[in-house]
Amino acid sequence: MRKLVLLVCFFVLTMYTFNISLFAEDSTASREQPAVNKSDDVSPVIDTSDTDEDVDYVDISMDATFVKDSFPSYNRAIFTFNDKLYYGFFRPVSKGYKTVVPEFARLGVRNFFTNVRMPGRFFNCLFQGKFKGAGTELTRLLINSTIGGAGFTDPAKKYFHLEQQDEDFGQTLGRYDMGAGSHLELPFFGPSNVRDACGLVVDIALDPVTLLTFVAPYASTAARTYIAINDISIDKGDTYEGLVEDAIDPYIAVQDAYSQNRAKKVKE
Amino acid sequence: MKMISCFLLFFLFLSSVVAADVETEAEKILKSSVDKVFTVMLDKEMTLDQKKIKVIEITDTVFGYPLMAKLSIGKKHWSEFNTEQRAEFTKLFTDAFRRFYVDKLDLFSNEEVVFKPATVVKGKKVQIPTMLLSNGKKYSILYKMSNGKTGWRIYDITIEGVSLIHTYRSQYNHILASGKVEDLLVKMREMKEEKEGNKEL
Repeated sequence: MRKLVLLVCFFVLTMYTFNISLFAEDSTASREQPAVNKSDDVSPVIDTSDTDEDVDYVDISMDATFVKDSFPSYNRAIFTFNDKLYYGFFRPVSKGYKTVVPEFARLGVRNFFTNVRMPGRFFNCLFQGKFKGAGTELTRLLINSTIGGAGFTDPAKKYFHLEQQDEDFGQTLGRYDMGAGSHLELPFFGPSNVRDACGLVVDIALDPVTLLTFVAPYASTAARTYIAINDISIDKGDTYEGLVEDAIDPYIAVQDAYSQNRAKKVKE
Repeated sequence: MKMISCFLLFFLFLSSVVAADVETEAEKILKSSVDKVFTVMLDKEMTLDQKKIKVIEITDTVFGYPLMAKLSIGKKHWSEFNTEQRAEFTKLFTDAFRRFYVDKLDLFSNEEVVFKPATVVKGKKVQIPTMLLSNGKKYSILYKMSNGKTGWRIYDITIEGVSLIHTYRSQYNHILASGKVEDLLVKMREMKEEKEGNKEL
C-alpha cells in the first residue's frame, strides 16, 4: 500500500516538474538570444485598459528586444549593397540557371558540394564534443562518396537515416559561451555578427573549396558563387524575398531573423 | 490509507485525461486546417487567385489575429495606442500577415507536414512542433496556440527558430522607439497600398 502511495506521489511530482520545465523552457526562450538586448531598462507599462481579451500577453518574451547593433549606418549600407547584388545578379542568374538545368541535376550539385565540404562540419562537431555527430559525418562521407556516386546522391540520409550535421565555427564559439557581439553585415556573405564573422575565417580555412585558390587565383570565389546560385535555384521558399519584400524595415527583419536562427543553432 | 491513495489516483487520472484532451483539441484544429489548405492547394480545377481566397478563409478560423497584432507591438508600446489606432493596426497587421503567407502559395508543390507530439504550457497554451519536408530539406515549424474566447488559435509561428511575431515586433518597436504610433500606421498604410493597390484581400 505504502508503495502505491509513493508511486502516486512520484507520478504527481514528475508531472509537476515536467510542467514546470515546460514553462521554464518557454521563459528562457527570450534569454537564449545572445545578440539581443533589452531595449530599455524602464519597466514595461502595465496595460490595464485592455480587458476585452481573455488571453492577455501569452508570450513570456513579450518585451521588445533589439539585436545589438554598434555599426547601424555601416551595416545598413552593406545591407543595401548585398540586397542590390542579390536582386541584380544572384536572383536573375539563378532564375535563368533554373530554366536550363533540371532540378535533379541541381540537387545533385548541391549534394556533391555538401559532401566535399564535410571537413567543416566534422571538425566543428569534434570541437564541440559532439562525437556522435562527427561519427555521423564520417560515415556519411564514406557512404556518399562511394555508393552515392562521388557525393551526387545522398544514400546515407535516404537509406541509413544519417542526417547532415549543420555545424560551423560560429556555433562552436557560441557553444563555449562567446556572445554574438554586435550585428555585422558582411559584403557578399550577408548578415552576420562579430562572433560568426570570426567563425567564418576558420570555416573558410576548413573548406576544401578554398584549396581551389591554389589552382587559379579566383577559382574558389567562382566556385562559391556557383554554389550560391545553385542553392538559390533550389530554395523554393524564396526565403530572402519572403522576409524582405513585405517588411516595413527589411534590414531589421533580416537582422532579427538571423539572430534568432543563430541562437537556435547554437543552442542545439 | 487506501482512501488517500485512491483519491490521489483519481486525481492523477483526471489530470492526465484533461491534459490529453487539451492537447488533442488544439492539434485537431491545426491538423484539420493544414489538411484543408493542402486539399485546396492540390485542387487542379481552381485558379491560384481562387485558391488564395479559399486559403484565407480557412486560415482566418485558426489565426488569432487580434492577439497576434497585440503581441507584435509588445507590452511597452501597446498602451500608447488609442482604441481607433488599435483597431486600425490590427486590421493592417492582419492584411500584412495574410500577404506574407498568401504570396508563398504559388511556390507550393510536393511539401509534406509531419506533426510531432505537442507540449502543453500551463493548460491554456500549446506548442505544436512540426516538420515541413520540401525538396529533401527539413524545416522545423513550431505552432504556438492559445485557448481564448474563440477557442484554440495560433498566436505565433516559429520557423527554424525564427519567431514571426518577434521579427514583426522588432521592426515595429524600432519605429516606435524613435517615432509616434501614427508614423508606424502611415508606414503600414503605404506598404499595403504598394502591395495590394486597391484590391481587397
